[in-house]
Amino acid sequence: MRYGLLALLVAGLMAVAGYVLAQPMQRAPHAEATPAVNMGTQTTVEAVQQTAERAVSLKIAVNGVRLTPGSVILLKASIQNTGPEEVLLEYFTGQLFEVIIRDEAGTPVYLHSDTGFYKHLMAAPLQLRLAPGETHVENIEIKLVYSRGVEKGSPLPTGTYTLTVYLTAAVQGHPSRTIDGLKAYTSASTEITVEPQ
Amino acid sequence: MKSSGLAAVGSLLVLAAVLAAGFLGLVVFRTDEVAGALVGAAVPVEEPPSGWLDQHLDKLSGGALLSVLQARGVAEYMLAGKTITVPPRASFVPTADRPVGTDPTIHENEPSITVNPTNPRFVVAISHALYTGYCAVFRSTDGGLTWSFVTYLPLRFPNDWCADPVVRYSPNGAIVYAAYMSIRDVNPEPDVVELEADIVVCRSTNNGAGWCTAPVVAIPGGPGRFPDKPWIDVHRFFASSNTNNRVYVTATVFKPTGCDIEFSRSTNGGLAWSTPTIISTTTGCSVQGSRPIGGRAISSSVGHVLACWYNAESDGWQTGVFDIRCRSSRDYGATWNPEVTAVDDMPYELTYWLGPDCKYHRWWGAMFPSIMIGPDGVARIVYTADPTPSDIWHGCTQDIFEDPPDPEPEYTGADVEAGDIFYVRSPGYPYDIWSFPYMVSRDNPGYAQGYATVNVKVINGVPVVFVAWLDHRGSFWTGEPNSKYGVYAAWTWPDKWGRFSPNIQISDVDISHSDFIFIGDYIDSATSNMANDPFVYVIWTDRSDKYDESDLEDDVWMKKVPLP
Repeated sequence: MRYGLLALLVAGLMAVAGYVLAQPMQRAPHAEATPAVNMGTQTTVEAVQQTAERAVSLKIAVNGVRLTPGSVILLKASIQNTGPEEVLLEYFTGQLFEVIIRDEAGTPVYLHSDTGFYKHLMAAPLQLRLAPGETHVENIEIKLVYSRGVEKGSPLPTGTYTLTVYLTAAVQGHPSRTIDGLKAYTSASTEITVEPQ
Repeated sequence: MKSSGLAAVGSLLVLAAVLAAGFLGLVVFRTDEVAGALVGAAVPVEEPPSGWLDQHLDKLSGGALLSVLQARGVAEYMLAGKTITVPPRASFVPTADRPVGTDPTIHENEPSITVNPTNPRFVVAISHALYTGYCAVFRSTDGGLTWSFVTYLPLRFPNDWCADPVVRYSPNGAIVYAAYMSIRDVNPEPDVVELEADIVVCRSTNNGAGWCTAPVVAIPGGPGRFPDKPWIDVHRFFASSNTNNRVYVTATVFKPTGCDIEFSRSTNGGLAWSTPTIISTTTGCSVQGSRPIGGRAISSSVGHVLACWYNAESDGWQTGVFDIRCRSSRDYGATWNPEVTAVDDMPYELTYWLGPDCKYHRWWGAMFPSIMIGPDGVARIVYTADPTPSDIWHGCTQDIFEDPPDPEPEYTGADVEAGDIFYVRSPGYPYDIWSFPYMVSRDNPGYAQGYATVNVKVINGVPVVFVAWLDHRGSFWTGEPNSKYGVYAAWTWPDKWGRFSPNIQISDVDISHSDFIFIGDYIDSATSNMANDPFVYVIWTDRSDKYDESDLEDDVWMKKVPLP
């Protein structure tokens, strides 16, 4: 009888301990948008993307989508801290953004860093701190010409192009990745049309 | 159902934990007791008779015999009927890594170091201090054992920021020079960036304790010219009234037509600077990473100066091969001899980022030469080259301009085997003959070495050539090549006929975690002229407290490396 009571007491204690342990496990799925277990590689990648998008978002705007060959467009690239905490971005002088224009076949015809000397600068990186909700904007002039190869400097022919802006800064605390073969944090695209003059 | 199942699992875990804790408690709390029992049971070891080794001395190997005799202070020894002279034991004082700049809120990186040639108690270091916008000065008054922050270097205009700092003592130790970029955004529009910069010099005449209040422009920028990547140096081993106030600066100057290497000199201790001289100009732009160094001083009008830099060659930046090119002067930089190719068509260029797949920090600056002229007048250069060819600079995995994209590109982008350290030398002025490149770093393929620094330390009258670099071989155990790095070194002297010692790790640990973007474009080293200071002072960006490349905070550490 005494042993039976003792066994009951021990079992009760173990059940209480088990319940306490189980509570955090039950709460975990509610704390994150994705379950913490049995999610595999696919979810890890998705989580990274979500984290990246939550921390800093990139928006772009151009002052016209119907353009003439060789014309100059004004690109406005804005990044916003969409997270709850301050974010630190570190980037090289003149290299916060990279811009690539691709033709309808997806072939790059314009690389913005081809047009200046910034990619060959070796100065220290700059730091940009964005408070929650804060936005940083840069205006970039883009001349619609080929940026390299035998056609370098020639106006882009008529057609539809995809203009993609890459945020090439490092973001403190967020893992690295490559987008379209470039080292970048996130990107945004828009279509532009070059029409006959 | 789910909760009860979890509760059952939890119960089992509790039971397992209780059992484990009990076992651990048994082990932990009884350790002393067990150890005490072992000690109590130990049998006293009998002392060997004194001098027992003497009967075996002649049978010892040469090295062991020498060590025993040196330990006993024996100068001469009779071996097999022949008297041999025992050389004195070389002093070898190991030192630990020393923290220089470790503020957790500031990203200290890209450090430079100099030691007073005549009084090695005084050591001065400077580095980036990202977040402040300034470059920071640190100082040691006990030979590099302890360090303290001194000040931030003044900039040309109030809203400027600092980059690329380099520090050097004058040959006689009277002046400390700091050269750096003072950069500003001159466009009043908040959304448009338009940069200007100057290369400026600030000096200290009290071993780094106090500095200028306003820097002097050595290589000016302005509309249409942007100077970058300065370096400053002196006639390091040739102190005299002809050289003590001479100091030289070089930089890359970007212009609308391309880029040049420009040189400026001061003959009054850095107070005033000459109008810059273009010492290399290229069609388009293919040069970067220049450094000057002073050599022998013959008279007030005859003194040797050498300047060397990276040239991307006609196949373009960060792909294919590259050169190291130099020019020399016999009149303290007033006029220059024709350009010489010290390293010709070196295979291959480094990629912009350290691989694999651009995963880590900026890397291509490791190709830029580090140069030193020793007291023997011999010039030495070290630099990094990639043994595996890579694709164009921008592609992390392949040429993004390839049309159509090659599914199996011949060359990848930034890969793991991304650099080895090479050494060349020239016997003397006019520095127009250079040796074939010798590979100093020796490791298994698959890990990068780069950002080398070369220096010379005279030990017992012999100029020992010392090379240190950042080395990623220690990342092998992580399964992630190049994720970790440490500082490695090798040295040579004339009797070794150009061969270097085996590579040794000189930083206490080699677990600095690589950065996503930047750890600096160089490390640095310094020596004094004093015989009682057999050290090379090496300084680097340290990230041994990091576990992730996206943690961007850096520190600066240094080490006194004793030479044999």
